[in-house]
Amino acid sequence: MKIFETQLPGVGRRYQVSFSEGKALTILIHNDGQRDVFWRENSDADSEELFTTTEREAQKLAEIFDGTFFEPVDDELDDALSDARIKWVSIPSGSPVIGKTISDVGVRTRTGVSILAVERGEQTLPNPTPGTELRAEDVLVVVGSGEAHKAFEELLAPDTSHG
Amino acid sequence: MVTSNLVLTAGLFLTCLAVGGLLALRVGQSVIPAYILVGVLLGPFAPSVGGVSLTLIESPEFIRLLADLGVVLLLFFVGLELGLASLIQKRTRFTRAGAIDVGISFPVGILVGLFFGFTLLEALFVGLIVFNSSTVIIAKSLIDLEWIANPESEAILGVVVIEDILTAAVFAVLSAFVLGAADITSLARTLGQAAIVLLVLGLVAYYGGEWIDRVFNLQSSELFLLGVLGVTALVAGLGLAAGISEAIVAFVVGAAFGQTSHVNRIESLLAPSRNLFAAVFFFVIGLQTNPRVVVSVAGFVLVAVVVTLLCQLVSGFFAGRSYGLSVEQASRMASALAPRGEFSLVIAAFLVTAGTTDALRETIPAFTVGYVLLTSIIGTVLMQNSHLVERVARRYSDG
Repeated sequence: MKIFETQLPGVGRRYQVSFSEGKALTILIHNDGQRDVFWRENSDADSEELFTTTEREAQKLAEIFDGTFFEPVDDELDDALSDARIKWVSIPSGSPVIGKTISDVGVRTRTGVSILAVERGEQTLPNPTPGTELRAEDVLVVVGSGEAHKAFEELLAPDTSHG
Repeated sequence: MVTSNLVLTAGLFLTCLAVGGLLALRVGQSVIPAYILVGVLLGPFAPSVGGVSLTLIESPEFIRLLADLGVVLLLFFVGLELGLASLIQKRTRFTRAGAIDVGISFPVGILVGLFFGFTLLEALFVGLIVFNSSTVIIAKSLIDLEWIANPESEAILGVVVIEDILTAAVFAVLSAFVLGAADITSLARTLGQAAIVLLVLGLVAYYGGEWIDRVFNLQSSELFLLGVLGVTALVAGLGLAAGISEAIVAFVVGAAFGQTSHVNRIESLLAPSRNLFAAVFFFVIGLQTNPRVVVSVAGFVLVAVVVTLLCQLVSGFFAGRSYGLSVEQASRMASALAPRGEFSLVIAAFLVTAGTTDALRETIPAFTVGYVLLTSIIGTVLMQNSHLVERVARRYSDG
């Protein structure tokens, strides 16, 4: 792959990226920041315009190519949290979950809540992994709907039905 | 009855320009001939419709300031976007192509001028006016026709830059001849002053890039705009006072800014002003054009159009071939170099105010308007039909 840069007086700069068999992608950067993108099928053919972008759109595309694209999802998170609440829940002594990992318990699948963090004594473990073990006296920071919280409390409660 | 006021007048003519430009774009033409025609229609020489004159603007004086800034900014941008790096990189090919194009077109233009009985100085001006292809019109058509991604576009624009540099250099000398024409001592003084101004500017442009960079490192966009525009106009005005066309000075100032890191910022901040003022400049060209004078030089215009465009087709084609283009691409180059525009009109505008003979003050500017109107329209049509040029080229190259 070869890249040629050409200055075009009165227009802007042109980059031609050549591929095998005479195929070429041409990107024209106008002096005002607009980008035109052309494709050429073989070395005898004329280039044909594919699309045009603004400078800002071009930056977004470049980030995608570069693998650094990041879109803040604040809005969506707000939606997700709209009917959810965050609660601090301590694991009651004798709870069946003690000694099990989060995935063993199946917290999210069985109740619908997510554990945001685990407070263990002086320490806080943010973003616990599924493999994180739950211990007695842990305080869990949990997010979920009211129903999910209820289900989670039932799950934590010491098993009395068989006792 | 509404009494007229300046804002109303400005609103009317700007709206007319917008409508005229829109119509031009609708039929695939450049806006430049449209702006000129709007100027003719609204100016002191406007035709009457049903006994009512269309004249909106009696005298172009009150918008001359905007038009003069248009000239300065037009040439400032030509200098700014010169892109000499690519030109120098491929200098052997460009020297060859440029020499063929200039070597045929410029002498032919001078000969046409001499043939119609002009003095040598006048004929040299005619030569400049008829040989400089329009960057603005060509660049727009190259984008519209999608040739911009092909190799012929860099050959075309490179040759136009060579034409611009040569035009600027010759125009600088000729303008000094006109401005200092009173007697031999004042001529010598004007030429000397012009040479010093250009030398100093050239040195600043070449060596002062870093310094200009620092001075114009302004945070505020508004002050940056004012600063660049102000300094450009200031230097251009000083140059004019010293005996060199403000357009040439603006061209060199633009080239100086082209060496700095501010190019992109200037493009985004000053291009809108350039567009506005340049439109007013083309409008004023129309305003001060008396259609009767244009008609009186119609024969001259027609002969010049036919002769120079035929020569341009031939020289453009061979310039393209020598650059290494295919027959098809060289045919495109031949037709692309046909439109004349802003630089020819800038020279004509200079002659209207500075001309020392009737021919320079009236005949040549009127000729220029007619010539630019025809070549800009014909040139654009030629580009859209370059396959016809190619067919002719193939017939002759086969035979």
